[in-house]
Amino acid sequence: MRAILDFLALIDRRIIYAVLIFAIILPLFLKPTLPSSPTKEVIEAYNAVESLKEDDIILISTDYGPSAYPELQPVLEVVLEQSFKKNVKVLLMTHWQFEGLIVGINAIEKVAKRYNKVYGKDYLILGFKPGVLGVMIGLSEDFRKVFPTDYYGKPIDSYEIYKKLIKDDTVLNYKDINLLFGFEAGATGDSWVQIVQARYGVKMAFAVTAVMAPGYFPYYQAKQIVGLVGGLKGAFDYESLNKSKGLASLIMISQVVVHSVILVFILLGNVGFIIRRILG
Amino acid sequence: MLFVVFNTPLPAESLVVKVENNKVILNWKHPKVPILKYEIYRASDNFSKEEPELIGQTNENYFIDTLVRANVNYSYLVRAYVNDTTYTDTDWSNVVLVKIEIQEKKPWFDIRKLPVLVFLIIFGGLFFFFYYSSRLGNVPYIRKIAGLEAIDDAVGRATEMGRPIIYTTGIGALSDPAIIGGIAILKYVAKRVAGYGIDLIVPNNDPLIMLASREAVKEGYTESGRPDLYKEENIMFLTTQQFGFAAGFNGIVVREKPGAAFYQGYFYAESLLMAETSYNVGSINIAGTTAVTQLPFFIVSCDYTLIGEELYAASAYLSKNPSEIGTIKSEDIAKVLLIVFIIIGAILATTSSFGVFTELKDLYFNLFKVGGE
Amino acid sequence: MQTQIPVIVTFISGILIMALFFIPREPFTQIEQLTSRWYIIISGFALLLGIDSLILYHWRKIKRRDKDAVYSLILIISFFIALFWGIWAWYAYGGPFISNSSYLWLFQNIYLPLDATMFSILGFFIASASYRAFRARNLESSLLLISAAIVMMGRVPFGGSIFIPFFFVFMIVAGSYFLYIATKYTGFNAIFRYFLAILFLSLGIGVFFYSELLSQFIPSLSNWIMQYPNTAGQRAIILGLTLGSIAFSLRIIFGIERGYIR
Repeated sequence: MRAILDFLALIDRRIIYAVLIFAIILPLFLKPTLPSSPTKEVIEAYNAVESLKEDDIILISTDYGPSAYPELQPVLEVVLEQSFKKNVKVLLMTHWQFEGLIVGINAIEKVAKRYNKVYGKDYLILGFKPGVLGVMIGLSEDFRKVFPTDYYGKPIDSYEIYKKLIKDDTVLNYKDINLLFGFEAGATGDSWVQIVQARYGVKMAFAVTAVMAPGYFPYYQAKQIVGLVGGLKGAFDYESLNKSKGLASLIMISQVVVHSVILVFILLGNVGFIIRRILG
Repeated sequence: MLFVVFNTPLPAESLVVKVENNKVILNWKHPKVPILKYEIYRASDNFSKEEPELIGQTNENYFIDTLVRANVNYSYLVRAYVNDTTYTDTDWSNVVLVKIEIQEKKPWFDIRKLPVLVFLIIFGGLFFFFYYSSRLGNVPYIRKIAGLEAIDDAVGRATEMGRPIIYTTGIGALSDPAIIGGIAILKYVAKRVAGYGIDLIVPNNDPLIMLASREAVKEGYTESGRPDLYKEENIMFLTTQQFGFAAGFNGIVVREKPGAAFYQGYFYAESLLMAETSYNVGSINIAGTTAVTQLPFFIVSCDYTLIGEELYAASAYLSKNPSEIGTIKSEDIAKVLLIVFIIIGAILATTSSFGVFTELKDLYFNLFKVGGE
Repeated sequence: MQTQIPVIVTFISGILIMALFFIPREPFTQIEQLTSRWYIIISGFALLLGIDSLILYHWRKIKRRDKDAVYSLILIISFFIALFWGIWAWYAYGGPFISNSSYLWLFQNIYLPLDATMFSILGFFIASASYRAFRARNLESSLLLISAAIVMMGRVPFGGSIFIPFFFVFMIVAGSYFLYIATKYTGFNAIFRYFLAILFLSLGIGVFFYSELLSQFIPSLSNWIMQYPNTAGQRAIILGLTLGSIAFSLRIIFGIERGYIR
């Protein structure tokens, strides 16, 4: 009895890791359909993209790397799908780290192919530019100031899309952007809100990692951002709003099982701990 | 023949000139041949089209003319060069007129930021009041901070085990106050370590922080009278990449098995990766950070955690310098003030939702409104 | 002198930057950007010192033939491969991250998977750390434990239904514990523990009968915990943090605190 209780209260971490590996991998083969109950902030983010009209412009900032891929990539793909479906013009950029561009291009090329969208006509990859404050202020004047050329080294105004982007204006800046959708895994999202939203009043929605979601709730409550998609659960709900089954729907089951397994371990630990105390 | 064809360039196409925000913006299309440069000419009341003024050159296909005066008619021409001698001109553009006088100069003080200034003055007043009053002998009581009291024990324990100590200020720039606070604690730790002769390893993710850490450790060893024990190579740079840094740090932890690990500064997602690894090799973990999202991770994996402002207070606490400690009291008074303001605001917001004190609430909320640009 | 000059420089630049916040007039608005550019330039040079320190540290290890010298060797070799490959990519493609550059292949297929691996270890560490940390040692840690469980289950589909059996078992065990421990106390302490025991036991039994209701309630409860108690706590820490950083900055600007310099 005593030995069992000791074992329960002090399970070796290696056992936990081993069980966890199976809890992550095995459910992936099940492919069940899980019910979803989207929260208000996710629905509002979805509607913000849905409300865009033809030839509106969405600026997508992919400020995350492969580490946040499972949480943010599914949302990015759905946002691109929504935009391409309605012929919304898409601009892609990152100002966090170069990795952001790679995951972004990955998604945009995949979705564009599905909707027969042409580079330079329907979407544009602006590239990666570090130096948060300078980038944001530069974009407020003229996008060409920050991105004279696109990712492939051609001037951005040499593309067909540019005439549509500038609308009746001569320059492309925040005034032309109908929605900014930020995918954030670092501190750059705060700067989008604190600098660009506060100074230029750009409409914004964010998809962030689960760890960072609590930090973005104050912005959402203060109505500085119109929507917020947090973590894998948010991504899963976002996919279900679009009635599509992507990466998040596939791996959500793993999270269900893993959360339950962790809870089982916590419960076992507590049972061992409490009964040991009662026995003295 | 072919050579000649290429040398006869086409003019820059479709020149469009517009006035925006008291600037004249020129846009045109690149011709089909590669262009060496464009020159922009301007004709106005003082410069005829026969003798226009050259106002600039560019390689881009746009130009912003900022040096324009109000109520003067301007017309523009763009000259495209293929090489230094061969060029072609566009036609003269439409005539544009900048109507409004260039904006009057902005004021010396941004009135919308007045609430910030008022708060700064109030806080600064409190700050210096307590600074001088504690210099005169009224040193305020400061509660024990367990994480800082534990430093000596942790160093002692590492010495008994014959293991080194590892210290990191995390990821950030030297301009971050949290990092400066971390370096101040590092100096204190170095002072303690010097007396025992164990190694102090400080991996860094920013070379400037590495330099500052070296200075702090060297100074700590010198103040303890053991500058001979200072090993510069133990304060090294790893990488600026977040997870590369965590991997390198964990490698050192697993190989050297430190007796104590200090995490004092600013951290992102690597916090738990590092702290859990050092916990697993059996070291005492003492953390301190201002990164709110990482606090939960440190609290579950560390023996002691300095929460937020405790990190800022640490160097004053450790120095036991009365004038430094005095200034901490000003934070508490300011905090009480803020709490009072928040409670009043909450009450007014609640009553106004029932239609009572609505105007008072608006007035009160406007007092705290800080305008942006 | 050695301490005087840095303190004076800090004072002047600190006051200047503080004043700039309030002056919307050119050319003052540019100064902040200018100083941050200086910082980038200086740190660029410092990076050379950093690389020097990294290479020297590992070179010494190899020369001393330390027991872990092989890792140092790997580091130095990888460092130079990446460096020269990058330089070569500048020459061959006009930049290491141009879309058809072979350096990009290195980056995508070696660096990125390694980066993702480091991050995914976090999931395992969270499991072992929460297993250790979430123990019902006293009332506060029990509350922490319960709210953690609610938030965890509120974040997944079916969370409510999965949560019920855990909650039931925990409440029964915790309730019996307080019932047992109460017998060892007298007066108020005993009454308080009896109260907790009854509370936990009745919650456990209640859940047993109203499981359907609770399972629907869990996701919104989880959201409520995140939006209100959690946000309130965060705001409180941030407020204290901000005051602390203002006071700390003032101490540095006015040279009261010199812990960071000689």
